[in-house]
Amino acid sequence: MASVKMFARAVFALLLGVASVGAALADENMQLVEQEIKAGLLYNFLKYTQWPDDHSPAADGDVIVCLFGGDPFDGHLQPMSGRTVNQHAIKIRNVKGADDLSACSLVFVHANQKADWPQLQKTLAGKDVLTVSDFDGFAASGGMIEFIRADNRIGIKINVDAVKAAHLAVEDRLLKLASAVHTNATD
Amino acid sequence: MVRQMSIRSILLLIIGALTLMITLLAAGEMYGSMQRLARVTALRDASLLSNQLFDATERISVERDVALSMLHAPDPDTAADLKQRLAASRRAADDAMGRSMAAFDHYAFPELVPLRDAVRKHLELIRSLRLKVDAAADAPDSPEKRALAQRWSDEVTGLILETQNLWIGFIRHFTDIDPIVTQNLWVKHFARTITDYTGRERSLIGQLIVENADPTPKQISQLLYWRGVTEESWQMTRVLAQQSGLYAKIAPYYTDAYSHYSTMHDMIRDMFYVPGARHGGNYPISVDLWFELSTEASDSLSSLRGALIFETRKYVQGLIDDTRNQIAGQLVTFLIALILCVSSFRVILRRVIRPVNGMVDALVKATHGERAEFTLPINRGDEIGKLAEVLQAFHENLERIKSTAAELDRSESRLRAVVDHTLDGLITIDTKGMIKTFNHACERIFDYDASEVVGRNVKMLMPEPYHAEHDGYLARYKATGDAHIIGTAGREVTGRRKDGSVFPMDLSISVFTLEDGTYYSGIVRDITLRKEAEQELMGYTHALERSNKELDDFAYIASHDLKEPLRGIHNHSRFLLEDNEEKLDTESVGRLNRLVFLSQRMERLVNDLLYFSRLGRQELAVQPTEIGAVIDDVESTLDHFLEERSARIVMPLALPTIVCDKPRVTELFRNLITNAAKYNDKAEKIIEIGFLDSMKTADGAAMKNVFYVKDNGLGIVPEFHQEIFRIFKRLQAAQGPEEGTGVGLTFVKKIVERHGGQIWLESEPGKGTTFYFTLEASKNDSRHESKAAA
Repeated sequence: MASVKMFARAVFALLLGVASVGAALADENMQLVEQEIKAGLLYNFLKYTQWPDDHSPAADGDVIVCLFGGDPFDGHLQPMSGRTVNQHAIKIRNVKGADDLSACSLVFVHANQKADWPQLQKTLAGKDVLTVSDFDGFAASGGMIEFIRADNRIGIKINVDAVKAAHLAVEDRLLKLASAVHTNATD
Repeated sequence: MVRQMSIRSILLLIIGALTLMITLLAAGEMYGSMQRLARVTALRDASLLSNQLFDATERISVERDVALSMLHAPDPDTAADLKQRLAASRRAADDAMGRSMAAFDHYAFPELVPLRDAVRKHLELIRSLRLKVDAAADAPDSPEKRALAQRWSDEVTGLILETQNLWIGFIRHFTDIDPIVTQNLWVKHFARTITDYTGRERSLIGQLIVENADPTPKQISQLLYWRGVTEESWQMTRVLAQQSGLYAKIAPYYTDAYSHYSTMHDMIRDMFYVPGARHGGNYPISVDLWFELSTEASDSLSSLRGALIFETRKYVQGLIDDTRNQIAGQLVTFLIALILCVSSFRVILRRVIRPVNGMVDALVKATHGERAEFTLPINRGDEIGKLAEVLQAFHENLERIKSTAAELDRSESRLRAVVDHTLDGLITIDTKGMIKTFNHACERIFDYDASEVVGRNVKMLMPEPYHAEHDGYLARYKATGDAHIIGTAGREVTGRRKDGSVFPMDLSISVFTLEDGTYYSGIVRDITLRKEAEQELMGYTHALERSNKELDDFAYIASHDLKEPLRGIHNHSRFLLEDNEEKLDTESVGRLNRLVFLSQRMERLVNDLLYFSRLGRQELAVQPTEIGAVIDDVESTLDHFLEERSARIVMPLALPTIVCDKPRVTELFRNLITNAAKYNDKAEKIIEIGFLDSMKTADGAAMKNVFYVKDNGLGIVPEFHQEIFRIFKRLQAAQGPEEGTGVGLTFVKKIVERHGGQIWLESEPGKGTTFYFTLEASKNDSRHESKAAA
């Protein structure tokens, strides 16, 4: 335990030093923390979501998280690769085209792919793939989970209809914390 | 004691000892197993209790965190939200704690009493604090409220810590049960540590988020420390679980939970440490989301804990089952050993003891002379079977010997009956004089019962001096073979009856030797009666002798005394004749001459009578006598007489020499020869004298050593064959004074009788007469002498 304490002190000193570098880094740091939190939430989405039995990730035992259009997490998602959720190993995969999406359990759509989203959405229609993104209007445009910012805090918007349409189930506990979007109602 | 025990009892004792040993060993084993079972069962119960307890403490820790967040809530809305969440977590905590307290009461471990009391005390405090927490929920921030929050936090954490510590102390008692159980307990402990520290982390972070405040350096160091402890515990959990073999079973839960927490840590890693992490002063995550996410993570940990609990329980249950199986196995082994013991006893009993007992019984029967059966019901080739066969063979041999012996016995009985019923007494003694047998006749003779004398010295049957000297006789006979009575035809001795009376008996003794020594057998005959008869006879004989002697004496005295007056008559008659022959007439002279003649004849008669009486009175003077010489002597003295009558003596064979009274035998032959010559009308008178070894008389009696004198004279008619031996009996009238007095054959008969012989005759009138006679005194020597003479 002593070594842990020493390690902790060293890290603390280092971090204090880093903190004193200045506000110049503040924005970048905020970005970093946001990315970390979103990555963590992504894991939790996997945790809270139930895939239908006939197409569960258990088919090959892996949960494949596909990053569509690049990695917005600056590699912070990578440590998750190899971890497990609900007893399934997580794999992170970068996908470029719609053809590669078939094995994905979750597709994170990069914000710069907003233009391609309708196309992608069509490709994924009827498939039990959880779609997540962080550009505005994602949930409203048929995406399932959208990261939002409310009161300077990261929040989530869930399109319940889209989730239902993909034969997925998101636990109520998460829904309670999210602002729900009803595509059908919007339409 | 063992010496008196039967083989069956000894075997029973051995089997009993063996059974007792097995029972003791089994009991020892089973006691150990039972102890182990009790401890393992206690461990299982303790684990159940601990699970309840830690579930409760975890739920209280959640309540603690929610309550703290509520107390730190920056605005009433947040506080209101958290109040609801607090109520739920409080219910959960109370439920769990209620189950724990029930479990405490259910598994009454004395060691857990301090723990229970501590938990109870903390719970009371916590319950009292809850009221204050509720009361302060809506109150504005104040130092008192912060102090309450701190006290609340300390109290709940104290409960958790104290529970943990006391629990570890208690669980140590069980660490010797099984190394894997011990490791599993440690795995659980580390899992709890993770729960505890992540709970504190969750609590502190939640507090920071709610307060929206920068962490103090102390809080930062706490967070880092907790994270380090948690990380260390994760590793320890995995390593220990891998070592105990538990990991393979809990791996999915472990990786899930570890993944979850790692992700959570990654998520908030930089949130509190990098400047500018907050947008507009806010942490980038809401407290609700935080609690939700961290509770969700603790669910993953719960799953892991559940798996651990499940697997550990399964393992402990396996231990219990194993121990139970072990006990059952020991019981079965014990029973099998017992059954083996009993069945081997039965086998030995059936195969060995019963046959042996049967044989022993049969032997006992055989010993009592009964017919016994040794053959076993089943033909067996083993030692006992052979033993039975051999015994059967022995027994049959014995039976044969017995029947032979019985046959011998019967013949001996017959012999004994003969011996017992014989009139003569039969006594057997050994060389020491001890009586061995004593038959019925002996009992009668000596008036003793056989049982009174057998085994005692034969001296008891003898009067003095034999009594005293008998040992000497036996010793002498043994030493020298010099016998008094032994081997003789019999000897008269005296015996002594039971009443001490003495009687004459005839005793003959013979010696015989058996395998076991030398014995003497005596045949005893009571001769009292014979003796008495003999005495009587002797008396008669003596009387007769006396009478004969008196008669002889009378004859002698009479003849001797008669001679005197007779001589006087003769002399006076002669004197009268000589003096007065001229004066007397012829007739008177004739009468006087006749008187002289008659007195002379009377004198001869008296002389013969005197001689005859002398023959009866005087003892014989026996001597070896050559009869031939006697005849020659007689012939020479009668030479003139025989010549005058033209008679001659012939002896066809030599005559024997015998022991006899020579002068009397000479007289005997002289009389017979004279008679033969005298009563003979033949011109040539032949007198044959001989000796016959044996002959038959006219009436068929066999006679031995017979002399005869045969003539060719007048013969004697049969009616006179006895008459002629009477004294003074003459068959022809006397012719003159020399013609004899008629006593000759009387003398002959007397002489023969005095020699113990007999005389008889065979005669045919006109042809001749043969006188036969024996001289008993000569008998023994006659044949020998006759051969010598021949």
